[in-house]
Amino acid sequence: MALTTIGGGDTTARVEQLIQRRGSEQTSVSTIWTSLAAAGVALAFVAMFGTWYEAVRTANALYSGWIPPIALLLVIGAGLLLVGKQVGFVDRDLRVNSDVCTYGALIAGAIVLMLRQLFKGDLSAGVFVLIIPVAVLGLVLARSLRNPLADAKLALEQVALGAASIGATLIIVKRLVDSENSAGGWVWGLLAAVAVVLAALAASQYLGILSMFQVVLFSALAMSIIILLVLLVQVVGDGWPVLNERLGDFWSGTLRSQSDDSRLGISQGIIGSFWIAIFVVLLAFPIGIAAAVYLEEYAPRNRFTNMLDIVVRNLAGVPSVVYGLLGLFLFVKGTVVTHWITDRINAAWGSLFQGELIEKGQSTLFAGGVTLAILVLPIVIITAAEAVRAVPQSLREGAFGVGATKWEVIRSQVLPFAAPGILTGTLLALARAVGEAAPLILVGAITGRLAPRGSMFDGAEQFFSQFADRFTAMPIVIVGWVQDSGRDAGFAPAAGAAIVVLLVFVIMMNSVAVLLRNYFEKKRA
Amino acid sequence: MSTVTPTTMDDKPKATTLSLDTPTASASAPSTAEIVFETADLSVYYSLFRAVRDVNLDVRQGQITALIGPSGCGKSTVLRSFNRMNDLIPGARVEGTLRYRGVDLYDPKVDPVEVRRRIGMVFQKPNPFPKSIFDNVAYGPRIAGVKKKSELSDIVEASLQRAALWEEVKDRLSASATGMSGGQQQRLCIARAIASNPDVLLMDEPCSALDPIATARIEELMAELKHDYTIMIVTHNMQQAARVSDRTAFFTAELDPKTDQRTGLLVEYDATTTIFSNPADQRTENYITGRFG
Repeated sequence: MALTTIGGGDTTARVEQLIQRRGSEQTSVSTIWTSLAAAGVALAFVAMFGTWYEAVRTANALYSGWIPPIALLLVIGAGLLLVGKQVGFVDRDLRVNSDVCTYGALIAGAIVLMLRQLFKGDLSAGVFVLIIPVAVLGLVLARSLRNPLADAKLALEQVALGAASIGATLIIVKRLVDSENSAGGWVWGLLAAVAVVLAALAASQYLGILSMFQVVLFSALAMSIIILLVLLVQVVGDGWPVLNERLGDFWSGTLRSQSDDSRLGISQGIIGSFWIAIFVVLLAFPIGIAAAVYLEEYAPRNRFTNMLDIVVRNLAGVPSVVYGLLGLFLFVKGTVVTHWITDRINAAWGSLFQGELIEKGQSTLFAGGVTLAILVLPIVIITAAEAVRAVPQSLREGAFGVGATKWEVIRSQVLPFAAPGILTGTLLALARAVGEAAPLILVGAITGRLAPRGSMFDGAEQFFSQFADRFTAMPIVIVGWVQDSGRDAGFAPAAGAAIVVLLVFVIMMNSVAVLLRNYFEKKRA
Repeated sequence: MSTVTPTTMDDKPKATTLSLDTPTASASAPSTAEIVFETADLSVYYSLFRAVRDVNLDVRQGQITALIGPSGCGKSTVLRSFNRMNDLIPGARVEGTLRYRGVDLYDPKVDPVEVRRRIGMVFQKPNPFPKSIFDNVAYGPRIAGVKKKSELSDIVEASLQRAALWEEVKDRLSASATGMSGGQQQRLCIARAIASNPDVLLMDEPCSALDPIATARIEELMAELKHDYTIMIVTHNMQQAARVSDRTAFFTAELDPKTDQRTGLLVEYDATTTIFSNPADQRTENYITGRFG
């Protein structure tokens, strides 16, 4: 052992001491773990009973038959043993045996139930099944490798608890995914949350290194990952038929009134979202970064700028619908100023082409793009300001010290150093803008059909007139299809596929943000 | 007494008619040829807090002037007021006069950027830019308008040579400066300051973050550089002041019982040998003999 190399002297005594200390620590927490194990068993019971009851109620062949009740009985037996031990019916001297029985029955029940589903061809459940034995095996191995001196009984207890919790979690997650039309969805969600916490607690015990506090933190992380997983499974599952069979057509197709139309697709949404992203890049980024540099580098620190700071921070928290209202009044309905500007633009347009470019009161791509640019502007300002603030003062002094002007210091030292932070913040803001639906609904993005528009290859007139025309965007397409799936169920896979496309774009943007950040950080090191 | 702040000036000194743009300002004022800096009742304030008061000292050309004293006595503050680095701190202002070759540095007409080009600075912690070694040294000349690559290369080589760094880095000028050792980084910062062709070098505890070997190299370097540059150094290390400097100013801080604030003041300013062997003031003697501070 590594310990023997430390200090020397009576190492045997020290090792024994250490084992003793570990042992006493484990005994002190062992009651906690026993109660947690009880909770895990109860949870597994609820999950399995729910599965069985649901199957009986709906006569679902997958869950009916003789195997689920047997599994259920095993689990109930395990629960009774555990309770019995706690209240004293089962001899305390037999504790090891009763524990073996309890957890053995529990694991057996879970595995039987899951194997049944595997053979019934329920693939996702089958994958879940495999996780349980693999997890048990892996955890036992990890445990024995990590600490061969550990109390075997305790190890078994923990392995069983972990397996039970993981099994319960997976069953519940599966139910959660399956139960989209059952009313009790949130109950399953709650149970899943509890199961995740239990699984995390158990997992921490195998490793024997996490404190309770770390366990709580880890559970929080695990919760979010589970939620993300459920979301992904659901969405990809929904959209799979479309993604698998006709992704190319779906990409180039247009909005249609019938879901079985082979020309159904998202091209207009992609184009709209693309232009909105361009508006955000061209408007929000330069203005936001300039504002951040002013606030951090030039503005004096006084009551007014402190207030400005608070205002910007609050603006970032204003609900996006409110920005939608702002966009509606400013850019769609129009004010005296915007009407005046519109008249000037139309006059200029009339001299180049014919007719009017912008119809007053019409919702335009321009209105949508500018509204979203305003929406993310505070976020850009805050993240950029934080990045600028993180630039070491010594860098600024070094540059000032050889006679750089303020602007030279900012351009040659502050901005390059802050670039990774600014980039990350702005790209995350861009991803947010591309995913926003609420403000676009208010400024009048179209949820219904939309005739294909001209592209940038059709000449200047077509190119510019698309900004003054009605538009749609990816989130709006999704909202529309989800709404339409009420009257035409075929829209649901299309909505799922559209969500996957949007998710892929957003994840790509975030990945680019990470890559750029790493690149610039390496550059400045 | 004239009271001059960056924003107001009650009494315009005659010398402000001199421009800092004159290549050798000293030539225009032969009477003060030897004196580079001249302060009269200089006080530095941070908002309402008076950090240092009534500093009167003359800094002579071609000499190393050391500022020593206990922590919080304002020696760094004084040094940073000599190239207007204190302007960067909100609320900092100066009272009294501070003349550089006869020009009042805090005259509203004086451009602090031009001051800092003339009066370079080396900081306590080595602060190379996260750029290549070449770009670090070339930074000053570039912002001063030198564009030609060959000219920049010449300046960089000359500056690195003067900073005794050329032999170590000549094969890796494009390597990042942040990968150098602390001592090399500090010599790079000196090269960076030299590259702007300054008249004066201000060094704010330049060796406090370095090991004894790197410190010895910087001290050697200072002894060579003083033939071309007037050097002012703030140091906590009395032996260092005794080793390198020609003149030493001893600062201390005194507590104002009314405001409970510590204000620094100049106690004694004399030839270094005098300060360390035969100080006139009891407080100086206490400090250099280790009975205080």
